[in-house]
Amino acid sequence: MTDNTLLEVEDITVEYVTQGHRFAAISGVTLDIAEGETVGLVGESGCGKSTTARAIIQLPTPTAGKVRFEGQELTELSHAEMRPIRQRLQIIFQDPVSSLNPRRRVKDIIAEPLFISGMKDKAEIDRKVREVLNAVSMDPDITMDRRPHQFSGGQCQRICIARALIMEPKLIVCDEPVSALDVSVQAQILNLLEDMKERYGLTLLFISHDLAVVKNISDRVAVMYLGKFCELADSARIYEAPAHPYTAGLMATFPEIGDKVTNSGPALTGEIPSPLNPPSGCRFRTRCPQAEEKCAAEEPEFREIEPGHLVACHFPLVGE
Amino acid sequence: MADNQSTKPPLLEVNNLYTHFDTPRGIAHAVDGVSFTLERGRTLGIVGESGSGKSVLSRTIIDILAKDGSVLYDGEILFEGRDLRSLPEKEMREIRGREIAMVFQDPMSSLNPVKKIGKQITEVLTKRLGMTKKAANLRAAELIDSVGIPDAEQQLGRFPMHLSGGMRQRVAIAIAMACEPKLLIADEPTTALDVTIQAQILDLLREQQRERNMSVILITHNLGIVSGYTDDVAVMYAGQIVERCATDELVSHPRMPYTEALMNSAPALADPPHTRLNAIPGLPPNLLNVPDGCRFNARCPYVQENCKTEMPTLTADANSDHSFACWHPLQNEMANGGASA
Amino acid sequence: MSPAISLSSESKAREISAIKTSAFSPGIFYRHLCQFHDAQSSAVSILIDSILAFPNIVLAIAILFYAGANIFNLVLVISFYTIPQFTRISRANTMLYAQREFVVAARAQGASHLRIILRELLPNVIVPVAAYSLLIMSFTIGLEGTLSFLGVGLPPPDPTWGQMISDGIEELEDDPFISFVPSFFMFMTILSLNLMGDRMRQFTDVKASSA
Repeated sequence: MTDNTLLEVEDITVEYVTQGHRFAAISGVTLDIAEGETVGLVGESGCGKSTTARAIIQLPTPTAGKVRFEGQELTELSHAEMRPIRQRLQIIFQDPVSSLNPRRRVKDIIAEPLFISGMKDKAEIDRKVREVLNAVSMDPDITMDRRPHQFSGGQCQRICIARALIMEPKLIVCDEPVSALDVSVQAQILNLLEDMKERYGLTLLFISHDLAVVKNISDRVAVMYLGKFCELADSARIYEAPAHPYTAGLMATFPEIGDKVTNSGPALTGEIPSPLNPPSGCRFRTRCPQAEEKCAAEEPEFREIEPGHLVACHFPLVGE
Repeated sequence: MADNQSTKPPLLEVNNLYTHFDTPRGIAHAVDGVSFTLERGRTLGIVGESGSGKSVLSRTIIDILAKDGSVLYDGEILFEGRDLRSLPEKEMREIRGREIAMVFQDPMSSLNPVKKIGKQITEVLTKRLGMTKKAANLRAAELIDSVGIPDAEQQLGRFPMHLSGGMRQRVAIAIAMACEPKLLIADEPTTALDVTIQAQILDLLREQQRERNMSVILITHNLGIVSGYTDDVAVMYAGQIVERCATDELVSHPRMPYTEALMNSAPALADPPHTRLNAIPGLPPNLLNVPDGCRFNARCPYVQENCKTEMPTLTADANSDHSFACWHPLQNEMANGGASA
Repeated sequence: MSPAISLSSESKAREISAIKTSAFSPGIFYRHLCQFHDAQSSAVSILIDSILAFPNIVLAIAILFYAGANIFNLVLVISFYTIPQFTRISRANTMLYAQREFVVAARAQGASHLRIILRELLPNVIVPVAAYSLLIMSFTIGLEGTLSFLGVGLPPPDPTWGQMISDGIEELEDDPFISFVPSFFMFMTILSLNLMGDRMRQFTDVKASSA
């Protein structure tokens, strides 16, 4: 916990009740994000990455654990008390079209955070909206008076980013912001996020299921599986030397241009278990090529195997 | 590729196919003059982004677009020599599902949510192949097993909603395989699935293809998938095929600037973090109002004057199967007429 | 019979419809407030569903007969039909829109419940509700006609279509037009409202839906 730690997530758990069963979508998630860095969070369905994103912004408040932003504890705040903090802690979502109210004009959508914070000066609001639209490379004169359905997916995402930027936040949680976009548009938006990060001095938590995208934009990467962290390390390190078998498996199965797929079976067999009924001990053991008895009996601890590289595995592939 | 020719005609030959939608705001040129052939036993990848027309193309081949007159067609689709466009609906129905099967992006589209899995497969077997109920049940269990679903017998009694996305897609594939089709069209079959499941499904499709010597059209936006799982590839942009060749060729020596731009804009796992991506500026053209000349001209880094006025046609160099539609194609390193890689 | 009478009763029907429309507002607003409070939402749902299940026509006739057939009672009785219907429509649509990401986005900006209802949900929900209201209006006209025909509608001298039709029944052999003309106008009005409502629904559905 150094001086420039912006966000401290401590041991959060989010539980849901479905069909009468109580289960934990995420448990024991701990993460520190320093000011100015981009942390990537990668995993497949059911791993809890979106749940983590929502828990951080307290929508809803996690069932257990603490979240500290700029030193302030968020989990005990009421909605009204959170309001000023939300100006500095923003989120952008996966489906850009669904994140925009189809009945409102773009200028009102973007100005909404200003209205909520009580700003009344129309000229000032107009100026700020124009400024932020220019920042995301959308022409204000064309864009402001239109409605979301008149724009493409990529343009809508730019509008969402503009909305997130208008209050000049410190941290933006990006929940799969490019997953719903075409490849060529993805690249535009990723470049835009990097540019905005530099211009506004942002800190980002970038969530995605796409390994290459996460590596490209992040300084550090965390890998999640079934609600828990399995690995956390610097971007370059985690890709050149993954310590957790799941991370290694993910990378092996990632389809790359120029890969000739060998005839041997896929690196990871089996289905992702249901979060309602996770395997005992290490959750990944049912699909792990090197699972042993210890893995079923004892849940591995999330520990440091080399400086800056944490993993939750009894038999990590690297380090020790 | 040349030595693969048999004396029989290719399994599928599409000639100058056009599919236009008559919308209140004008005519949308979804598929605008597409031609390609597919031999038996080979996998053709069709790569493109949204609006490229790849999905409309697949739906045109098996004729499942709206039949209310709002869709305008032209050109021919020769399946084993017969023009599918000229067939009456009754005969088309025979072909659909039996000789040409389709797997969709969203497995729930092809599965009936209120029928058990087993019933959905046996129905196909009893109705289309005339099997007895007993034989159909046995065969259904075999099929479920062959697509890698464990406890086949038990799974027959379940409903689609109880299965995961990957499982549902396997069932959809099993249903598609039930009639032993000659051609399988897989329209983004793994886009909605997780990466680790994606690999399993693609491997399954490849296995099925090899076992049955089936032809496959694999439609995707992911060049990585195309690179790993297809023999030949056609790149589509704004309703047209802009490059067509063997997959290895495309990956190593693309000729069409769009293909190169597409490959370069995707982040690569091998690149270091914070590598600036070569994003293609702008947006694909509006299908209601296609520009003159080459449709990629507004976004092409190598654009020249004639690109804006004349539409390039899909042509190949001499002695090559690699066709492209560009006035100023990228230089092929082996451009001095030698054999391709 | 003279179209003049038909037209004036048409204006009566319009009057009734106008009153009706003002009755639906409490329905949708309350719905919204309940949306965020599940327990209350269920309680109101149960109440609404019971009203819907009740044989309203019996209640209608009873009230109009005993409490007198004046315009206030007539509107009250018609409300028993229409408020539950509006409530259900607005509830279904509110639930639909409340799950959309732009509502979560508004929460993430610190918007209060009230702000979300007024600024995010209401502009979206009002559209299908408005389209539906045209259909409800046509239903209301038909209902009023039924009640008048049964003799519990507004007494003369207020002209109503139902009354005219019922008066003309005795004269059907001699002068069928006494019944036919008001029937025809009623039919045309209801048909027009239905068609407009349908069209509006189609039109707004397309615009409101996202990719």
